Amino acid sequence: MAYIPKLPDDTVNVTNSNFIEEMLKLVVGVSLLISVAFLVVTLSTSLIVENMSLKTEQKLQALFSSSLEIDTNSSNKEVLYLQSIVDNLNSCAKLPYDITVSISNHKEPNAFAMMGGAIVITKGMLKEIQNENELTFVLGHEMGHFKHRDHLKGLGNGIIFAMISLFVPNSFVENILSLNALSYSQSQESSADIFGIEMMLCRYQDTLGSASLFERMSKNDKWSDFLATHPDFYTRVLEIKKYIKSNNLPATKESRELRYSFE
Amino acid sequence: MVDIIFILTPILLGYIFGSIAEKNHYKSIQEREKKFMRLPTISLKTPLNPDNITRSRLVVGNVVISVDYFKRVLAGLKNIFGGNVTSYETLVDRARREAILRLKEDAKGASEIINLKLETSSINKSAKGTIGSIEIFAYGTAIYRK
Repeated sequence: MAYIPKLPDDTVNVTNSNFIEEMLKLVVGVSLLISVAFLVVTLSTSLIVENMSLKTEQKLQALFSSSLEIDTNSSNKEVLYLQSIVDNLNSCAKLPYDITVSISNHKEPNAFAMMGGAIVITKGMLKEIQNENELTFVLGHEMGHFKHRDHLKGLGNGIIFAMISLFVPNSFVENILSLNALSYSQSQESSADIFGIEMMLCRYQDTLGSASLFERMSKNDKWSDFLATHPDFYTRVLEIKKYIKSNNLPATKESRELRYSFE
Repeated sequence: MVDIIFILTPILLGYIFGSIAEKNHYKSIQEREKKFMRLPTISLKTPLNPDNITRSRLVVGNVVISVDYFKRVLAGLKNIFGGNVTSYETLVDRARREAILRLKEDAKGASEIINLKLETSSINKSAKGTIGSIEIFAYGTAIYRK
């Protein structure tokens, strides 16, 4: 048997393909898939959530409140103070379940309305708030998300994000997705703002302080994190002012001082 | 925006450095394959010519090549739609040819190498968050003649 020396054929075991082209095709395909899934799920969840009865909503909330891990230090005076504001506001908001407030240690100013009737407000946010009116507005705004069932509608998005992170097992991608999953749409934020104004009216018969916090925020660079989940501050300030003006709402009383300075 | 930069940077770096490394590696592989072309390396268990054999020896070649981020993302996206994972083909091809070349380098002065076998394994296969790499281990028997 004779041995015939021959160089290996480069084309047999390696497909001659353009990786960039392949990458672009796949990325377009995946984004199409995701957007279709996104549309279907968000539309169907918002349809279900809007037609849900109060009882079902209560049941859903109870389901999540038991699994919620919040550091509720009930002896903490600051938390008790926030809780008392929320409890008072709930007589105006008339939510069918109790709301629990907790403070998270994050330095980035932000507040969230979460499943299980929990409002989480960051230490960074509390530091920026200058009077009780502003605090009431922020808490009222978050209660607005509960009133409009925004957090339930967000569940649909959560499912999609969970599905994506299944396919893309990348820790930092997951982090980014979970961050964005907490955000609400611009129109949801705007209607929550209006709910916040109504809450202030109900509580203080005055709307002072509803726009002042956001006005400071839109001028401050530190808010970039908040901007990521609460878009277009400037537009929101304008909308709040427009709402107050067009409805001839009072904004004349003096602002109430905070009972605690959150430092 | 920052999020997008976070995702794109490793992919872009992976593509740039991955392609440079691959190009250089193929160049070196092809040069060395030419050099060793006349050394018969076969998977038969018996030598081509049983005459004049003085001794035989186990020769090995071993290589580990890492996947880059670009290839991995491309393969990850392929998971969804199925099909050939072409981005890993060059990787496996390079590793296999490099391992055989190292085996040939190990067999200095041999007149032929018989019973060539290849083993493969992947390192970091199950570790989450790490990028995988492929190991190819080539072994065979070098035959020496007078």
